[in-house]
Amino acid sequence: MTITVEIDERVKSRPEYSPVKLDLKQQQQVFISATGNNATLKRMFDDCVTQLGNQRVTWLVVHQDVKRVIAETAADFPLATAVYIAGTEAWMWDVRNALIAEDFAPEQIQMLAPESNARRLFCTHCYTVMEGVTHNPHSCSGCGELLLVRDHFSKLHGAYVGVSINAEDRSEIPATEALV
Amino acid sequence: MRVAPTKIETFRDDFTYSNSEFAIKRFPFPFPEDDYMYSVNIEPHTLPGPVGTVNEHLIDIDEHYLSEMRERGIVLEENPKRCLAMPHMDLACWDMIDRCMTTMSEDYPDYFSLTKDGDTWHWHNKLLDQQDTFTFGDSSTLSLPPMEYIGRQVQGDFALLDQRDGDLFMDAGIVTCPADWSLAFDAGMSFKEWHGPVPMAHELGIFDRALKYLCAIQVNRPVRRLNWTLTVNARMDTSPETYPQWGTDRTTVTPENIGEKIHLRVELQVLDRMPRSNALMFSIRTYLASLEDLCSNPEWARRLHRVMKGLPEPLIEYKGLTRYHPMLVEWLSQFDPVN
Repeated sequence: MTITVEIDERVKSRPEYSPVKLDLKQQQQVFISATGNNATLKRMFDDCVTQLGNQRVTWLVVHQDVKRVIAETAADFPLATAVYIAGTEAWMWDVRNALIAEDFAPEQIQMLAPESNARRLFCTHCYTVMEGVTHNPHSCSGCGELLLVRDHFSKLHGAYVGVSINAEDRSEIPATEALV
Repeated sequence: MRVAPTKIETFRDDFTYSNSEFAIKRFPFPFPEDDYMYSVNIEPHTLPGPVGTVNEHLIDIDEHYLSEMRERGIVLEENPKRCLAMPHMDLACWDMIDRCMTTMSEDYPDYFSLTKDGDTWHWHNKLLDQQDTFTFGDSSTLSLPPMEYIGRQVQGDFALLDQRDGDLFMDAGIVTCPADWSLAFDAGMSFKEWHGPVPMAHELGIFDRALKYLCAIQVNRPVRRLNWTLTVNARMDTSPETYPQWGTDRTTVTPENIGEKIHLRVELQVLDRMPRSNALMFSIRTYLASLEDLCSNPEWARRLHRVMKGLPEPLIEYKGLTRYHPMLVEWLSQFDPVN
């Protein structure tokens, strides 16, 4: 018997960002971004204010020090809080992880599609973490290895893994391509 | 009969590792059929298993014990982050200490002994000439963090999987001889996340079924499966961390040396429920044997040829065999002239 299986080449640890929906049943609505400039998030925020009024809706801009700011702010939110996050992918995962450290449940947190294709990259050889990687391969700023930027993703690190692209034959240097 | 672990061999540089005839005979050959494809090949690990086999005891201590413990020490010295345990896994680590020490002292009384006086435990590892008295559950009474303490005394890699929300999470482990996966990167991942890069198996529904099965494992009802790949030289540490040091090995294979250079690397994976923490102890015990040694068994030689010849392309790529796969099939064909 032959069984034909559709092969899906997507690495299954890579997050997929489904469309975000307002969860108006929650008592508090919190919109978090790094810049305050995300148009989709702003539109959702305005929509939410129209429906629920100012009191139950919070607009939060977190420039830096995500972990500390979230820890300080999250204490003021009620148990029934819905959170919407917009920003670069790695930054959004930092916010999410900080919220989970404050006992938020994953289902309370929704992330918009990342604002760019830039990735955080974790070098699997020296554990250096690099921000804003847009091309493959990428030279590790820690150990200098030329890294293949893989789609295998860690939520904890908010990062993709990088592994030497030419450890078997140093003369193999593939052309640089933009990441999607 | 079992060969006592007295020799110290190397898994790097000069690669002095070798198997006795007994070790070859008991090698966990992973191919029950001429074709290989993924399956949920999990079965009960009923103990004790047949005498002398790798399945006889929960923890298999063999002739390579001292060599593997020395190798583990070298890896941890180079990179202490090859061992980690998240704070919420402390109880699970103590579960693991209990399970390992209890079974090892019962199964190998000549090598290990454990005496308990309430919470005060005395452990004697005669093979490593190590004696410790500690308070069970109190990590401050151990010379090392609990995962590293016990991990340095058992062969094979270990992970402790935290079970919550119907899923398993890679939240602790000591991983110094992996087949190309990184604990530091995969830490905290769910079952399907850490298997993310595996081709084809998701679509076959393997992980859905396996996860359901594993979450239902009960205390004292361990299960096992075999996994395999090929490794150039008897190198235990084929981690992504050290890939720049071993990647070139794959270019050194020739028709003349392939039989001694290529090793079948088989992982006996056992999952065992921990009673206090409800974590699963996941042991990945690696056995290495050269093709030359394995092909001294004509049945294995013939089967190896058929399996390697029929291996699907995505698996050849995923297992890192691309460079030498045609040469391998050619070399193995001498044992299987009709195919």
